[in-house]
Amino acid sequence: MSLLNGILVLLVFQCFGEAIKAYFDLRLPGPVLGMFLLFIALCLFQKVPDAVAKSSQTLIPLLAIMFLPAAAGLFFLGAQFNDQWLAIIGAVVLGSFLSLFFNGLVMKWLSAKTK
Amino acid sequence: MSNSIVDSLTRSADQLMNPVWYQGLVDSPLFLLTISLACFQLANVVYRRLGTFPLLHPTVFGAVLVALLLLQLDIPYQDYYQANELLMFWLGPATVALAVPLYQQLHLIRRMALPILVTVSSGAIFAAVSAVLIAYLLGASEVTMLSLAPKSVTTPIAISLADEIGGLSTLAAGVVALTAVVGISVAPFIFKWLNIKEPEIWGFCLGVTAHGMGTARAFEMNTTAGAFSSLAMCLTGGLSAVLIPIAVSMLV
Repeated sequence: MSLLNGILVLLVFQCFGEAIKAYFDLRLPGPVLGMFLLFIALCLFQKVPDAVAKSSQTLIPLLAIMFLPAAAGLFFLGAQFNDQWLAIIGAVVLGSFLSLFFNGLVMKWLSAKTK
Repeated sequence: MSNSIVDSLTRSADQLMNPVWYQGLVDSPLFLLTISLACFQLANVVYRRLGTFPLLHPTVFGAVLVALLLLQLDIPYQDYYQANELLMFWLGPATVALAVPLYQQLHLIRRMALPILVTVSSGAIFAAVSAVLIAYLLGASEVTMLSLAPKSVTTPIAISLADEIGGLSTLAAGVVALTAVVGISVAPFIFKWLNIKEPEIWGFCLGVTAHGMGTARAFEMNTTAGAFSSLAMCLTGGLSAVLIPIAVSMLV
């Protein structure tokens, strides 16, 4: 039962997030706003209820499979790439490579300094 | 006489070659969801057997298997996607659930506030600028460059961003997924090369570049990496939603 209670809490916070997004016409996704609200609630409550911890531990490891349909879509994008495929793939592959390298250097250097 | 025998033979051969009895099953959400789980678990087994080799991560290799099956069985991707809405629905509550590790790691996050803020602001700008610049050098059109700008932003934000600045939202969604796939495939190599072992840095840098999928990957390392990646995903998304339209309105 505690798993269902936890999932109920997550769904209710997602609903709050979607409601805020709709009311203020925000660009941030409802689930992200819901996460923000739950985070604030946890800070106020000062501890994580067992049910919420359980639902969180159940769902988070399953994130990888939830992204599978979107990842599979990459192989069916052909028509949209048109004559631009070289620029798109080049920018994404090289850009992501450089980004990871750049972020890693910046954060490693800063965290060494602040220690 | 001989003609009718030939006819009936051809007909049964046709039925063997184009059996229609299973078409209903193949088109059903049940089968299309089963494909997802089966391909993912098969990829998972291969991934673990081969010592978690990054290029074979189950989200990446599983997607290859799904794509091959769909092409083989002549199933339109759109049908597969629609049937899997049921699976993707859980991305919502799972995203809300990220608040828990975020709260649990708050003490560590507070201590790293400065590196976090500097890395996310420089990283968000670097991701957008580098992608647009490389695309420009490779002769991309303006629409392509605008669709590439939100490449490191989580999908729902990226789609509305691309729409707003004049890119194609469908192309942006593909670019975002491709970025994440490239990110989780190469990040372990790059971090090893840079000698980054701290889960905080490992997770955060992955989240800045590879958003949601990067966060899923970071949780496979440990909760600390996952929490930092979730934080990075939110901050990058929020910051880019503000910065990218401003940058575009100044440049275009």
